[in-house]
Amino acid sequence: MKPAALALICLGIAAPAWGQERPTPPITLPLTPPEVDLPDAGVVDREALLKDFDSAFHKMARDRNAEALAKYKAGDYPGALAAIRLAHEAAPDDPEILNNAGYLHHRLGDLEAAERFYRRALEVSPKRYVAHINLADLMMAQAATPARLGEVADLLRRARAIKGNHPDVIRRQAQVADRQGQTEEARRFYRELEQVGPLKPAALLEIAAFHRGLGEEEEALSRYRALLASEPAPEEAEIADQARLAVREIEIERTARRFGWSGPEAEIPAQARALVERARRDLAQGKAPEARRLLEEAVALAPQYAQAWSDLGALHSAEGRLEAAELALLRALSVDQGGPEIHARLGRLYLGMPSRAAEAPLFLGRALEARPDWVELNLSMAEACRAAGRLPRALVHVERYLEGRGSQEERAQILKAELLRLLPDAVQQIADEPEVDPAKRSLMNTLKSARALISQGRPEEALVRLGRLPEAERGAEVLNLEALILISARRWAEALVPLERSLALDDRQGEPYELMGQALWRLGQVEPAQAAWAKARARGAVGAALSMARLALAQVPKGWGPLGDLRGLHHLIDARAHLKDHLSARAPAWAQQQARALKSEVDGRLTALGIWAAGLLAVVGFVVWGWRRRIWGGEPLSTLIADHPETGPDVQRVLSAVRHEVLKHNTMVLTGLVAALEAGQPAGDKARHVCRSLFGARRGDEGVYGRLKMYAEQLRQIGRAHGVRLNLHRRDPAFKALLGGFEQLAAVSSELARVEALAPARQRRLIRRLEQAVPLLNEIGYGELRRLLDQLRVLTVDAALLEDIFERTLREPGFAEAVVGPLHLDVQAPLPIGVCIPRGAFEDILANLIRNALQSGLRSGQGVDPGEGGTPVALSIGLGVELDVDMITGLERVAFLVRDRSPQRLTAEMLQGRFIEDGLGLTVDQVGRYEGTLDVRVPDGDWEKAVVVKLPRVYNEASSEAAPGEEWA
Amino acid sequence: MSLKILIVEDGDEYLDSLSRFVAGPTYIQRHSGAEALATLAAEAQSGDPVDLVYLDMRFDRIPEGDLLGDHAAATRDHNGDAIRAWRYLANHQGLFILNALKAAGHTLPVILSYDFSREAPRLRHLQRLHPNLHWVPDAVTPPEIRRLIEHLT
Repeated sequence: MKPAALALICLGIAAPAWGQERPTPPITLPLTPPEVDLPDAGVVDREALLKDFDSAFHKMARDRNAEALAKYKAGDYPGALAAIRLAHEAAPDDPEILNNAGYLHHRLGDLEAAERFYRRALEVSPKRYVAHINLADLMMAQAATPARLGEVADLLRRARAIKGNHPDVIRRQAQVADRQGQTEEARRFYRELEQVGPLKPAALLEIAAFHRGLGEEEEALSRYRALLASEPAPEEAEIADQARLAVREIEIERTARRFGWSGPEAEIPAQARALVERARRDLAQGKAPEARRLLEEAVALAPQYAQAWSDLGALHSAEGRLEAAELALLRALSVDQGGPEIHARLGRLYLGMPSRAAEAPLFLGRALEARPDWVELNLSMAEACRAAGRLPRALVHVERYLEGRGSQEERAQILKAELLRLLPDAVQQIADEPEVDPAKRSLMNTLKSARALISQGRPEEALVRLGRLPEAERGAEVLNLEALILISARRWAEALVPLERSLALDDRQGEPYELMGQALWRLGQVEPAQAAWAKARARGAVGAALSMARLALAQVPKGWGPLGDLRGLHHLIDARAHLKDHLSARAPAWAQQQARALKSEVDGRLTALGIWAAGLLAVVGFVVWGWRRRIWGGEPLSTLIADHPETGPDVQRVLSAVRHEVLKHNTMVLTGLVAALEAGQPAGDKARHVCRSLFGARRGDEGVYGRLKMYAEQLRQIGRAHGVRLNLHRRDPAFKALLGGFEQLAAVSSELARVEALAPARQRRLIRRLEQAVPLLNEIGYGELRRLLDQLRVLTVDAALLEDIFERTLREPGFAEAVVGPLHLDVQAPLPIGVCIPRGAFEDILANLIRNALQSGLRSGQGVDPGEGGTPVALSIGLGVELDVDMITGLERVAFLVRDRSPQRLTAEMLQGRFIEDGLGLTVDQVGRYEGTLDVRVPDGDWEKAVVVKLPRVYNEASSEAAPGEEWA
Repeated sequence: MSLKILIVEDGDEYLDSLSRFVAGPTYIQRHSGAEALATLAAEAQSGDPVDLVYLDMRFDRIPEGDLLGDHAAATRDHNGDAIRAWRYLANHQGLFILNALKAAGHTLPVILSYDFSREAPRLRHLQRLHPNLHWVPDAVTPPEIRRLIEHLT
């Protein structure tokens, strides 16, 4: 293949790629790159040949790339562009060349092409760090929309992922976050930037400006000072100058605030400050629409932000929207009445409006009064006075302007000439100007200049200036200003001297008392400070209430949280009252703002305290409730017995044990001991016996008292098992008496053990205690225990109950079709009669037996309707009641006999073997539980069988009282 | 010669209490019905018979084998529950011993330490069988016991 043909193949490969990448016409390339060594004949390896060509083109592209950069550096921009285009055509997908092409276009202002090259570079090489950064810079330089800023943030995030924590990337991330209004995000990035390593002055300046924009003066100052301390290189002198200027401005702002000449803007949200900062930057770059949008956002966010309104007004004014400008500036003025900049802007605005020019001197004059050092303002003032026809005043200001070497000297000279020409015609007007006493003028000038010095952050010089005044002119105003300066310089004690002198001149002044209060407070003299502020308030000093509020707040203990607020509650309440007073007075806007902020804080703390107190009260209430519930809550045994009759047998077992083991023996010994002691008989042995018996004789033997406590615990366990919390100690009459009696005995147990050694008085006291304990045990406790046992025992059975149980059983669905005759009741015992079983258990047992008898009868064909005219045989059930007496124990048992005529066999063994009809197995257990028995009687009269259940009889109280032998009682 | 009282109980409480608080009589203590019967017989033979028996009701601290009464019959009567039957015998052992005394021909006064104050019909029945049966309530005092003993002897 001929070399020319090979070159065409090569072009055939390259041209489409170029065509896809660039819409611009292709540039002709040299057909044969000189570095390519082509085979001259024979068999040609096409792949190898293409590889060689590719290599040659690549080398050529690199050369052109280097050439482009060299020409750019040399200032040959057209040459650089031509070279980079050649490089790109030779290697259209080379990411380095693409990036460089983007960079050159970017630098030469073709941003559209630059962005295209950068994006292509990133397509070809997505991990190319430089292209990410370049594209981000390009997009940030343009008026960015939120979407594009988001894309920039994304680009930087990817760049950081590639390169790591490189300061350049982090700094850009901070800038983008700031632009996006994400202040906290920006703060985080700047913090990361500072952690990465030593920063260049430019970066420090940027971070400082960021903090300053947020109103974080200390943060800003520390960066500015760090910058200045880093000794910037000569080429960074401009950065250092900016830092110095910023430091000075901050100090001046602080001084001005300290003297109350400008409102503090602590309440302005950081985001609003950031927006204004960004607006100013945009404005400096000529991006007025963007700046206006940001300022409008700022005032929407913070309507009290005077600076934002002022900047917006200035922008409107610059763009010719005069009405909007006036409105914005008046809004600014309503927030900050003392702002010289706002006055100046409003004055200049009116100066530019022919119909309003006469109003300009008023505002410009106020601005100049506050800032006599603003020389340029004198020219505007002169023009305003000229427009208002106040020619002599105009002349004064134009001369001041020329003296101060203002920047528009020529214009000022023209105005001066014009004024001089006009002035002869205005002689009368001059005569109308109020004459000022020269001495007073001098004093006023001194005061003005002192204030100017203070506003410039030079209080010491102001003090010297005032000190030079002759004694005769050192009136109250001078003395007060001196005191103000001294207070601002923290020279509290020195400030008291001019204040006292001022008050000696005129005691009706409020301001010196207010200042005196501040100085005294700082000197730790709280009460005198309060007295001074009280006088200040009485004399109409509106700031005194605010100071008193601050003092009250300062007296609230710190570091204790709500507890401190609680301790200092009266101070908080005082502070709130003072703040309310202050807010109701006509205080300056900035002071009102401070008062509102403080009141909001106090209100918040009082509310928090209220919530805290309510919470504490709730907790205390809950604890008290829990404690009361624990101590006084719970139920007596009678409730357990009534609500859960099934606990009867267990409770009865425990109560019987208490009666037998706890009371029975000790009744006798206690009464015997008391009798012996009362009779003055030797009672040592008896007392020791009582002691051993009640409280045990050795370790592990807790005696009767221990057993009583054990039984009480057993009862509690029974209660818990049935969901009832028993409070035996306080709610149960029986155990309350028993445990109380034993506690009394325990309290004298040591005296019991050595009763013989006790003095007579102690013995008498012991007898009294025993006499108190004995009735608790032997009478109250015992009586209540028996009452409980009675409650457990008695169920009165009568014929109606028995028939009711029968009828209820008969109504069960299983017997709906059964033909059952009436119940055959055969009573051989005195009804009604008491049995020892709960009603529910008795009904269950009897119903089961009746059910069993009915089922047995039905199974044998009784009580079933045969149908078709057949006559059913009614099923008969009998129920007998008999009394059974045990000949040995004398125990009486009531026997209930459930009779039937079913031939089905049933024996006592079958009952005991638990393999009988459904349900009776459980019945056997239930009967046993109540000390009853179950038996079968076969046959029983004319009945086939009877199932007999016997239950212990209990006696009706009225009829069963027995006396223990009348013969000896 | 002083009174001789046989105390039959499963513990030592009555002996301790009576010997201290109702001093005077000679107290002999036995822990079961069988021992009591043997003692009564021996004392009678010695010519110094026991004057009175002070009898406890519950005997739940002695071996089951020492309990008087027909355990098999009691088990039958309690639906075959042998444990309940033993408990029945222990809880009413005082009456089984009383029955055994009668069967052995002893008619000396017996004070049963059991409170019949709410069980008058039962007491009447028992006293028909055992005219020598007397009782003291749970809340009895030493002077009351002393008076009863003096009355019975």
